[in-house]
Amino acid sequence: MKLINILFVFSLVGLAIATNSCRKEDGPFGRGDIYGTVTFENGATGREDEAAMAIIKIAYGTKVPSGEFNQMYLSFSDGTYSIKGLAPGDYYLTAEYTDKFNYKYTHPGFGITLRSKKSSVNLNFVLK
Amino acid sequence: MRRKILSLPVFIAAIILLVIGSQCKKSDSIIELEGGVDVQSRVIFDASWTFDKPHSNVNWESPYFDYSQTMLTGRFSMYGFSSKFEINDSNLTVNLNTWVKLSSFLTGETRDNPGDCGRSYLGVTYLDSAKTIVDPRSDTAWIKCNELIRSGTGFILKGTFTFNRYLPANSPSTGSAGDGLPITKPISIYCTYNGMKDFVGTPSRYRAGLTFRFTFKRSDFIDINSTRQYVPVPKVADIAGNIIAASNKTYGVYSRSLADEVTVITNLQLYKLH
Repeated sequence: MKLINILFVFSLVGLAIATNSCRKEDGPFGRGDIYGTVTFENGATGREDEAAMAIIKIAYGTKVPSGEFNQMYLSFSDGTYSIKGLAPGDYYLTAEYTDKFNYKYTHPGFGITLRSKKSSVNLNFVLK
Repeated sequence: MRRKILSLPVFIAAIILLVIGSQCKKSDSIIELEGGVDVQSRVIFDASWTFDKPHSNVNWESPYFDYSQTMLTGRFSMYGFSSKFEINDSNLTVNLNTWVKLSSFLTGETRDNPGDCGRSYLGVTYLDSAKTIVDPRSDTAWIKCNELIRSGTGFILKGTFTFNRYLPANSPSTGSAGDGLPITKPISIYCTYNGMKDFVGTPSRYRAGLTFRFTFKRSDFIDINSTRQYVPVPKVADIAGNIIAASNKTYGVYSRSLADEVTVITNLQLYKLH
């Protein structure tokens, strides 16, 4: 009977590890999201103006820049963006914006770890 | 006793499950990375550089009748610097003191002549310094900038734009040639450094180029209700139809065949001997 108890405990632990593990494949097959606003430091106005049609780039499975990205998104006219359907895991995000005078505004990026299935992270970029 | 033995492992398993489960409820982590902004290479031009006028140009563009993005374009042939142009992006300093003679307006069409419509775009319908020197100072626009701001990979020059002037209150009716107050507005000029190259030859020179771009509203400088050119000392023999306007607030005619907003694009070439 004692053996049955031990087996029962181990199977419970195994089940817990199998079902509740945080580590899943990083990427777009989840329910988490990252959203926010992209602005840029406009030298002409002296303000942080909304960056319409800014490019937001995301790399899966890393928190540091590697030069390669898995997906790219565009911000709306008010500078807002949203990346939905992310699984728990590591991500690297950066953004860039080019104004009508061809001046390019960039950001070194963010390293992000989404830890739960329904993580919702507000991430605002201020491009320089 | 047997029940106790059974409940102990169950209790331990529950604790383990709780620990593992709680690990999943950790908050998300966000780390903002540090890194330099991707900027242009050093832009330092001091007084040792020479303005290369023959290879520079001052151009303007504005929508025709302001109904589409089909642009009317032209250039100015007479312009220069009142003092040496200098710019240094390491300590963010600039000295831009420049002028453009508006009657050197040029589109390559007959509208460029004194008294024709092209001249009215900038309110210098009859002004022709080479022919009838009426009020040379009203025939010139000045830009003075002493503030340099980095913006993304480019620069913004802040300063003032002086163009046209208010008419003295009594001049139109009396015909006196008094000079009015200049009209000066703040200006932001977008400056792009286009690079530098060493040219070996006779003589060997470093050559560098910059592009300046700014936009202004004509209505900020010209009385939009003015329909007749005011000329303080007209020479009727020179230009037929040269009429003294009675009610203008500023010099010049506000032509409506051009949009209110005019963009000026200047390509500046500089060189320096080895």
